[in-house]
Amino acid sequence: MTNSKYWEDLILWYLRVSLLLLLLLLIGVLLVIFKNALAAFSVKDLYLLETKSGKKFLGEIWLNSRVAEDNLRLRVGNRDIYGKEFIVVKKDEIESIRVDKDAVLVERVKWGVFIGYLKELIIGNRRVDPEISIVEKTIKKVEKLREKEHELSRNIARLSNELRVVQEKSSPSPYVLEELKKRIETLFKELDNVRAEISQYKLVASTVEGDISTLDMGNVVRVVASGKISYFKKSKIYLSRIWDFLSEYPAESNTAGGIMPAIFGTAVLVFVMTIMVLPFGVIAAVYMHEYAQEGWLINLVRVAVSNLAAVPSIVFGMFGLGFFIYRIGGTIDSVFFPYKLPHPTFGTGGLLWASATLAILTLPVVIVATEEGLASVPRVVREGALALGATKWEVIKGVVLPGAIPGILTGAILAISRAAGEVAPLMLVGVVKMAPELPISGEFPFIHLNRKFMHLGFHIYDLAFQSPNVESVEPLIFATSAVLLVIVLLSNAVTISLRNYLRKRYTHGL
Amino acid sequence: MSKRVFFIFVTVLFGSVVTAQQYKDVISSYPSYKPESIVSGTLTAIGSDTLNNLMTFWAEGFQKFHPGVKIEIEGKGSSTAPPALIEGTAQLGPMSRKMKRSEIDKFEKVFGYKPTAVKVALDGLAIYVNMENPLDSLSIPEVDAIFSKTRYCGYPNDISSWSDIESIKGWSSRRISLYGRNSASGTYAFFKKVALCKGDFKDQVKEQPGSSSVVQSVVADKFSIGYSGIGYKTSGVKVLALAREKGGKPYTVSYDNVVSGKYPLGRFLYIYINDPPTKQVDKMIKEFFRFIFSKEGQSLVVQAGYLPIPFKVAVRELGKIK
Repeated sequence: MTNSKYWEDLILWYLRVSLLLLLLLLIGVLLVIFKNALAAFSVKDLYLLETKSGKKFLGEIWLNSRVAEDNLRLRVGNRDIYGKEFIVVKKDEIESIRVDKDAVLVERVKWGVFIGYLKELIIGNRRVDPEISIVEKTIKKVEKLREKEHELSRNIARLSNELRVVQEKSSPSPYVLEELKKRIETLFKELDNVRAEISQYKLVASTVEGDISTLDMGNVVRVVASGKISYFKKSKIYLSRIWDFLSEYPAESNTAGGIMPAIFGTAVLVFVMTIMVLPFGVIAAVYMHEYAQEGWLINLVRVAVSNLAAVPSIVFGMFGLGFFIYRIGGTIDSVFFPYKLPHPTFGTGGLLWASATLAILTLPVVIVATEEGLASVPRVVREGALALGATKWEVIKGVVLPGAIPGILTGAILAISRAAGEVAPLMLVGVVKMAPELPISGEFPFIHLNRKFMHLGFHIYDLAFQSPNVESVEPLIFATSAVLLVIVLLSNAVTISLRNYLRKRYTHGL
Repeated sequence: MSKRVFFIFVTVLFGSVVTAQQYKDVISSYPSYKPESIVSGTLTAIGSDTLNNLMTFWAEGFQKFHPGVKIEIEGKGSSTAPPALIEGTAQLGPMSRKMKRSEIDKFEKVFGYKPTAVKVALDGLAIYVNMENPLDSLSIPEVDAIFSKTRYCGYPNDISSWSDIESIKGWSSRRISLYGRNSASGTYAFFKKVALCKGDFKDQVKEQPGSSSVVQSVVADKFSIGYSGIGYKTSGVKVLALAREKGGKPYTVSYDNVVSGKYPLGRFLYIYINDPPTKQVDKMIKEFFRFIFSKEGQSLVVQAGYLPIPFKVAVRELGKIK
């Protein structure tokens, strides 16, 4: 007797410890990701380092577990001059190291950051003292001009698309062609003017070695004089960096700028997938649970569904590529868009096929969860409804389905979480490193299901394994992971609260 | 550490670095890009992962001149380019190696003519070791003996530990851990052909999914060696100078050495297109190549970490596109 009690205690303790470990692991993962993600945007001090052999380096200290203990890693920036952004110095070679209050860090859209000292601000043929407030005002001014540049570009894009449509007609009217060409040319001239105006603004700066470098203000995003600004200003910069990261398009082969298209792509993908998988999965489950006769056939189907859940996701990717893209997409192209061939419209990866692939991938989850939801509706309730004279369909529609909604939504939660985190199958069916356009736009037909898209999971993969400048994007990898986590958690939270609301509503009367 | 050693250390950090200034002469021989016609539409590129970043740079630059053009880029390995061109899912097929005979045949069977190969940039495939490693240079037969089990380049014995390399005798007797690319990549195929004399890789080579993950693995592993494009160099690694033969003079990955062919692992990077001999190629594609072979396009090559191609070659390559 005492022996079995002893064992029971032991097992109980084992369970408690496992649970605790699991919790700690989860918290640990979240901590690591969010700590690194938030640190990615902080304003760091600039250090001036002198080595015993008289070499000078100026930069931020970036520690990294992969750099050995006795080394110090500095981000010295100026990739256009040094060829790379980071250097490693042996600690015992350091003569002196101190914070340099005069140094500034210039964030640019090209060549990464510049780190050095400001010398002059050039506006046209005026040369001004580069006081931070004046520089910041100039950045704002240039930003306005750049917005104008973007708008002109957009207009040119629209008109040149129109021009192409006219040109592709069998007998284009020469008058319309001329007119369009003229309009585009005027816009191009305006664009050139704006660009010329932007190029009037220049920032002269020197590196730590004293070499003078002239930076185009059109490329400058921000100038941070970390030694001279207040704590309040630093946090403002911190927040605006986070905002830029979330709201901007990526630049410089995804090593700079933001991840807005990837966030957008992930959200739209998951949304379209949910719309596809839910009705399909629910109908299948209702038929299997309510109508189909129990027997070997239905059991076979159940086994097949559960096995589908165990198929590696990359296999679904292969299926999507072979079946959706080459077979269905190819057929659609040859029937509806033969005039565009050999350029494919639907016969290539895109949002539609990626969503469909993920829908198949998550279908088993939805079916199983829905079936469980259906099973949870008490028999008494069904029989009561039947006794009151309702037909089978009325019972399902009015009694069983509402009662099963929590189960259906559980399926949706699981499907969304799985889909948002998938990368491998997407690589085959339409995810790209850089998608020039968002899948939703103001252009007819507004939702462009044939467009390729960016995805957070793939973005992380791309940054980590294929970035040419992997050292400086390291913090961005964590930041992107954090964003992906937040999106999954948010969509889950929305579904869970919806489920709780419905559960209350429908179980109230029971 | 003595001053001399530190000096070497710093020159390793800065000396072998590929700086923008170095190529000023090459790039200034190119004309600035001037659009010939107004183009718009979507261009899709599917192919090399090595060229992925460069393609993105070009796309961003090209769209400045042609706001109506959208360029989509997928880079999962050079071997994905030929099927994409054949299926028509892409108009541009960036590849870090030449197409194989079999790939060209398949293309020809479908279209009746050969795909057009355009050399767009130069790349030096680099051999990376950890920064702590005292090794500075290797010869190709040695590289072969390190990476290959067949040793077709003629090194007498296998090199499996660091003590097997004569020039750094006494540094460490640890096993060499090997990193390389996966077999879909053109880098893998090129390395196999040139550095292994068409031999086979050892089974111990850890195949990485991306060019930069090879370099990162070498940063993390003190006793490792790996091969990847020079564009992926980071701090924490060292690029070895290479000699063609055992006992030959080793050359670093500089522009002159790659162009003259003294550096043995220099290679061209290509974009393959479907250019029917009877028809003119799409204006948009023509403009894209005119952009690549311009001052702007070739300075983006440098920005992405690769080497611009000599102007003479560029003129010839542009002439291939009708």
